[in-house]
Amino acid sequence: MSGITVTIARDFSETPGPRYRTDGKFSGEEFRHKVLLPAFLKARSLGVELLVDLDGTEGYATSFLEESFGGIAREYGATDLERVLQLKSDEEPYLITEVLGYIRDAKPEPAPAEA
Amino acid sequence: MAAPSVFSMIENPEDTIRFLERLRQCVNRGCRPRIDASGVKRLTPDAIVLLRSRLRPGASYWGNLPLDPSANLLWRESGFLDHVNGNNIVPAEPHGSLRKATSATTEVDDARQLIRVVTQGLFGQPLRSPGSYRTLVECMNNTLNWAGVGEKWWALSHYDLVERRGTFAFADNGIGILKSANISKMLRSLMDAGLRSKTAIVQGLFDGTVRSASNRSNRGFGLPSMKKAAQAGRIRNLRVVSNNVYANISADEYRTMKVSLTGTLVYWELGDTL
Repeated sequence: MSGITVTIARDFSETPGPRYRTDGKFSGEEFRHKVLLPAFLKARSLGVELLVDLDGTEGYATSFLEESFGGIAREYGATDLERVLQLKSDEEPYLITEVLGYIRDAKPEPAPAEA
Repeated sequence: MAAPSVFSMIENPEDTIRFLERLRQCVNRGCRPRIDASGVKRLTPDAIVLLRSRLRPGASYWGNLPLDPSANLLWRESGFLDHVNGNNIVPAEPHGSLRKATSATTEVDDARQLIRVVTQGLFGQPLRSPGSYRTLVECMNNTLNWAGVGEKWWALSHYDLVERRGTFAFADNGIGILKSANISKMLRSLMDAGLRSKTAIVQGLFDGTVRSASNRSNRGFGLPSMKKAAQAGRIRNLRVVSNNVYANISADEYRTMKVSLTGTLVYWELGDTL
């Protein structure tokens, strides 16, 4: 069975934004919830590859990528994510290494301090 | 109030800061400064964005422009005159874009337009520049999250057809990299121990060896990513001035100044690779 492809520029935005929805349009949080997570869960359940194409956007802030990919790794584990994920980035090849770093280094957010 | 003859943060930061700080204090006292720019012989776009950021919203420009033809032209084509009222100075055909934050969010459309204006001007078509886009969005994020409540940014892009150069300058009037809350606690303890200087801390922030924010492992990538973009040629001539530290990130040179800038300035040029 063929895999699933997400092209960020086509399926989300040509202008990826900040980390959180509250910080502005086209956030990593929004991308993760609306596009990346559903695609990941589908790919995982079907046992197929998830190809994420990073080409075609204006560029990426680090926080967008960390929140998108690191966020899924924090919730589902880096191993599960890497098992299905393939990245394509012909325009900025260094982004692949960068995103894999966010996935592998993703740690749970610290719990808020008690009052 | 006379602007320095070399009105440039990247080439003459101390005199430029002294002038801008006198201006800021005057504006804060409610006075209306008359700026004498006639003696400016060398002007760079970063000075223009800082000057505009120091004037009040809706301010008039009460003053003159440089007599030097190059400095005069840069001032008139920068977009500065579009953001001040009530002057009889005739702007030149724009060679860039000057924009300010209009909301408390990261404005990605502005980031795209700042770049497109420059690439259209230099190359005849609106090309993308991921290095510049990343740097702009990182700057906007930093102002939003760390400059202080309600702080807004100004950003300028400019292209020079003779020099074949595209430049970007981003400024805010916030508390600066060193004074942002978490850095202050770290800096205080390190300085108390005599272990780190301000320049070493700024260098560490850009190297990624000193983590800002809450020291969480999933934070603090923005400043190092800007340095990597400069090292890889995706942007060029990256300079940062914040508090009393002047950093030529591209050359990995850091020094303390005798004066301190209120806020942060980030300057860079379009990279070798778009």
